[in-house]
Amino acid sequence: MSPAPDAPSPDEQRRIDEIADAIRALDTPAPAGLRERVEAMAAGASDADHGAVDSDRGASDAIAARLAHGVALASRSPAAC
Amino acid sequence: MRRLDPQAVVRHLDRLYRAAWALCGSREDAEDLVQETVARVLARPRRLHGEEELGYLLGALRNTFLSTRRTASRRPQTVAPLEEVVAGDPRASRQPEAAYEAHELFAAIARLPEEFRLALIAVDVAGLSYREAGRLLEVKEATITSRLHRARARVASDLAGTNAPASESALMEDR
Repeated sequence: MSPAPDAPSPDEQRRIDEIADAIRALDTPAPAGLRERVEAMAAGASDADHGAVDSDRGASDAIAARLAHGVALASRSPAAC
Repeated sequence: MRRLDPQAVVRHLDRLYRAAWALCGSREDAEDLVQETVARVLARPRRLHGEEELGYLLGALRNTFLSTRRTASRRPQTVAPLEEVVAGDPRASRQPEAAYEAHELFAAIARLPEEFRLALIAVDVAGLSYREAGRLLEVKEATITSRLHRARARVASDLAGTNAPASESALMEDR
C-alpha cells in the first residue's frame, strides 16, 4: 500500500519523532522565586483548609486572607530571571 | 468527588510552569500565569469531579491564560523591539542532529495554532494520557491523536526553518 500523499517522508518522520522526544524530555524546573511564592500560598490554603474554620464561607475568607499574606511575603522576594 | 489538596499546586509546579511557558512563549509571562492560576485555584476550596489533580490544574491554567489574554487584547498593543525578534529566531544554522534548547522548543510550541498547542502541551509537555487530554480539551481521543501529530510536525518544520503551514505569530497572538 502506498503512503498517503501528505504522509511525511522517513526523514521527516524521524525529525518529528526527535522533536517529540525532545519535548517530552523537557525538565526545566520552576524558578526558585516562583516556587517560594507558590509554597507560601499553598501553605496558607492548607492551614485554612485544616484549621478551625468549618463553614465554607469562613474557609474561603480564611484562605483568601492567607493567600494575601503569602503573596505579600512573596512580593518581597521577586524571582530571579 | 474529593477536594483538591492545596499542596497539589506545589507537587505539580514544575509541569505547570513548563506548560505555562509553552502557552506564553516566555519565561516571565509563564511565571505570572502560574502565580495567577495558583491564586485563583486556592482562593476557595475546589472539588475534583473525577479528574486527576494535574488535569484539573492544567484546565485552570488554560482558563486563566485565555481570560488574561482577552484582558490584554483590550489594552493598547506594544511592539517588540527588533533585536528581540531577531534574537528569538532559532532557525539559523540549525543542524538536524543539534540538541534543542528548551527556550527554542517552548517558543516553537507557543507559535502553534491554539488547538494544536493545547493538545501538545497536555500530552507531551504535561504528560497527560490521550484520554485525560481529551477530557481536558473536551474532544475525542482520536482528535487528540490527530492534533498531536500535526502539532509535532509543525514544530519540527518550524525549527527546521521550512515554513510550516502558517501559524499565528507569537508576537501577535500572545500579547
